[in-house]
Amino acid sequence: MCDHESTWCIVTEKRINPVDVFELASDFGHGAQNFFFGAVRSKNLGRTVVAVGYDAFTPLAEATLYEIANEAKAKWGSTLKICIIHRIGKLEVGELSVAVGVSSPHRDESYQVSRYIIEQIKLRAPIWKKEFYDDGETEWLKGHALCQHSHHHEENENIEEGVSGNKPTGTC
Amino acid sequence: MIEIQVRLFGAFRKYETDQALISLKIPELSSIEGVKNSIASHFKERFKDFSDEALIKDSAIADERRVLEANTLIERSCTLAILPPVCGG
Repeated sequence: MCDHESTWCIVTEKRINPVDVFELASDFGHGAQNFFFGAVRSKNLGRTVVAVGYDAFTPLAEATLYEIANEAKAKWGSTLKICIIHRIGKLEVGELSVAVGVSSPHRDESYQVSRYIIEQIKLRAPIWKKEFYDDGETEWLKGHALCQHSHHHEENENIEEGVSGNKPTGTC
Repeated sequence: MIEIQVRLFGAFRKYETDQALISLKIPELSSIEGVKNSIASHFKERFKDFSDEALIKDSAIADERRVLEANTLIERSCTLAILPPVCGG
């Protein structure tokens, strides 16, 4: 999902190319670019990890990334350029799992926006990971319950076909 | 009764059969809790070792655009997803 001008939010099976992130999150009018890359690490909770499988509800995940990016723009400035890419599929140790690129007029907001986006991704994006260990076992990692973080949007948002009622309750 | 499809993700993938979704018959105007109870019943009927009631309780129900609030009512046939706690990044 993207607006083809200043925001790119992509969930993909393709390898993340840092140059793509650099080029998408750039603007000649901006003096700062900040990049965060998350990678698969070889250890977690004392176990040796050989790979991580990422699963996602792609349409909702991309919509959530886009929502997070727009929240950042509302708070730190509408001129921001933002590129968020999240991998899915089975990744080996060292492969990039997520990239967040932010371009802004000055460095302070680019640092803050980058941190905001990655923290919100971990809390809200419908993405899951399964670790593959060196002993052959696998485990889906525990995470954050989405029902505690669901957001209510525009008051007059169209009701999705088949469902009704959209007052926030904040519970599962 | 209406028929809904429910997509499975993450830790629920182990309950997939030939497709990554299940079909359920639920009462019209079921609540989100009702949908989750129906999903739990579906799994209990099909998997003797089913033990993920707590995971279902902690999961959200969503469509492709949003996580559905707890007071949402399911009015007609549609495709939903059950989303266990997330851990992207």
